[in-house]
Amino acid sequence: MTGIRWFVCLILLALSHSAYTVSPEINIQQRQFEFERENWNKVRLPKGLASVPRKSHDLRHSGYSGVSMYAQNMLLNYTGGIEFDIASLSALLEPTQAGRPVELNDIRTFSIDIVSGNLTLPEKTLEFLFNRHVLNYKERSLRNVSIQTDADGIYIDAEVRLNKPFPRQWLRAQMAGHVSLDQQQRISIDIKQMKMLNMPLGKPMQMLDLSLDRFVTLDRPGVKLKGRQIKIDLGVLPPPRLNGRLSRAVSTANGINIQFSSPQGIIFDTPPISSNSYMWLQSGDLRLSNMIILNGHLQALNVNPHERLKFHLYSAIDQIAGGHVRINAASDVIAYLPSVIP
Amino acid sequence: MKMMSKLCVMLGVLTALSGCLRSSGDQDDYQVLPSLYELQQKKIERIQALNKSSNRHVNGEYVIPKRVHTSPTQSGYGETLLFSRNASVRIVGDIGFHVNHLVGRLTSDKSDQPLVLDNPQSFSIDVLQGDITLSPKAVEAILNEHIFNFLTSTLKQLRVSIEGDLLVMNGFVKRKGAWIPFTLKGSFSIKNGRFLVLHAKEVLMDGDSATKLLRVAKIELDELLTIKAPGAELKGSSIWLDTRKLLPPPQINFLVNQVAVTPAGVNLKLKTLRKAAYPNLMVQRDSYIVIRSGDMRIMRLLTLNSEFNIVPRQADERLDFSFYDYRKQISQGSLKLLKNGGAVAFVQNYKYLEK
Repeated sequence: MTGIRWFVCLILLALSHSAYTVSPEINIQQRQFEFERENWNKVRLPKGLASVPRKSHDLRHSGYSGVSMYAQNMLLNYTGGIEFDIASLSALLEPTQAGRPVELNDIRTFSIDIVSGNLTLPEKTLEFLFNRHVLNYKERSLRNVSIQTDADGIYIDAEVRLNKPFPRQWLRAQMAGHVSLDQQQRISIDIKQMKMLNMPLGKPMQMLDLSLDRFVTLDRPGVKLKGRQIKIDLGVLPPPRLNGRLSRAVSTANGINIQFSSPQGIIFDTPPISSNSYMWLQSGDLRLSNMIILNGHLQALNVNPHERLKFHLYSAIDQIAGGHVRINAASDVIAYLPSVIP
Repeated sequence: MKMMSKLCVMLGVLTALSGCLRSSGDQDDYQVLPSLYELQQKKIERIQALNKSSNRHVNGEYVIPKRVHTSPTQSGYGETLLFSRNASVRIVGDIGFHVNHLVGRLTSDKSDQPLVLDNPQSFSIDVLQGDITLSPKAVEAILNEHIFNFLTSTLKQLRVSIEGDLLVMNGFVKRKGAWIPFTLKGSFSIKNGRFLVLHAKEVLMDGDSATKLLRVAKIELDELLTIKAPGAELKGSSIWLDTRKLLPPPQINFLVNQVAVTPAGVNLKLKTLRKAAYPNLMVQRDSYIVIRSGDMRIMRLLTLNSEFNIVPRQADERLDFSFYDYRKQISQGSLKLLKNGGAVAFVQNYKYLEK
């Protein structure tokens, strides 16, 4: 057997002498390419998502439909005045149609499933959310809402139109309430005091056992006035749909702070660029216009290292086009984004 | 009785309020605004229109047909074109050529799969039109590092230079076990559009001219020497170079119309097989490579019917691109993604690469 092996070796040696000797640089590049290809395809799910099964993968698919995302100390701007101030957030962007990548330029194509997080809805966001989104319909009962918050509660100034049989007039009203989380994990604003034209109505209403919803109707997707409580759930937001289990809601000097938690803990890898304000998409396929980033590894940072990242969800393509992208040696994609869309 | 009186008070208050505010009117003349979602849809439509208007499949007379099968991960355009002007294109190291202008079709070795730019061994280039120059340094690298780079080669340590309209090749040739220094000066002709034939006009062996002796004795060089390698063969007194095997992968196929030795090197005017119009660049540069239409993998990125402009990050320099080192060039440069779905890669020129 040993003799045969030697004979085969000699034949191979003779053949190799008559053929090209591939340039060492080509050999090095091919080895590097093989190594990097392995790296691009390697399973990089955050810890805690290991049970997600991998589907078939090829040059066009990583095999994971959802995109895992971690955000830290950044602003997530939906559109216009709707902006979350995120302390930290772990989430999965899930395609609404199986087999499709998450298309960042089309908010119909995905939902955001929050696993854990801590974020604040600033006063301005709450105002914009009501005035421009929730109350954008005919025959509304509230308008020109302005909101202030502090650690003790929430203060709403608005014009209200009373239900029949009361006079159908627009009356300026002030309400003060307490923010908490109800048992259905909704944000609950419990109106404790109410004034109309500076006349306190809280006590008479209480005495007469008249609840606020007898005077005013508010029943919109994600927002409902029930008794004297305004109930707000995540469906109040425009698309993409936010899902998550709220664990806390309190008013603060900056707005309404909400926290999410779930038994499922997710630990993300440290992103390539050290920063205290960033967004990191670790796994899954994300389409940006004509480009798909396969198997994650996208970090977004503010182009100005001294500023917090502000990501414009509804204008992602415009914002990315206004910044620049670097791809490091490990093929991680680093997007440097401007705060203001040019 | 007590409850009743309170209700009266309440209604009285409301009546008073309604009286105070009668002037404010009770009609809600609010005009419903487009929803935020509708506004975003309009934005998507604008981006899609911008993308569509780029018409990447249309390049003058050359229109790339769209296949039936498309999906969010597949554009349906099966062909990718490469356009280049005024650029140094290296395959690896110094092996390469200077592009005066060139249009080529890139084809993946696996149909329906995106082209993998990271693996030059996985695609081929069919040149449709072009004009390229092989510098003496490039010819030297092609001969030493590619064609005669095998253990039993009979040529080694070749040096190439230009003298007027002749190519001068110095080096060592193996004869009867000994390495003899030689010099060969010659000019090129073309055979079948595919072979470059270097005709020896002058031969020096070990420092002495052998030209006259060979001519008088009617001895062809191949009677004295054996030069045979994949892509090169001595026939009579001419060295035949096969353009299909001249360069390492990617396989580059072209037909030569005209060859000339110029001070810059060996200039090849390539046969025009199909006409395609050069696209407008997405950035103002005169030295570039544009890869347009079809689907392509660039590291972790998959571009779909995209347009990828490769330009040097140094605005005033000529692009110096290497197929086997492009990842380093990209990672030491930056990318600009555009609203129309295209991208511009501002790459580090090869000569500045941190190796």
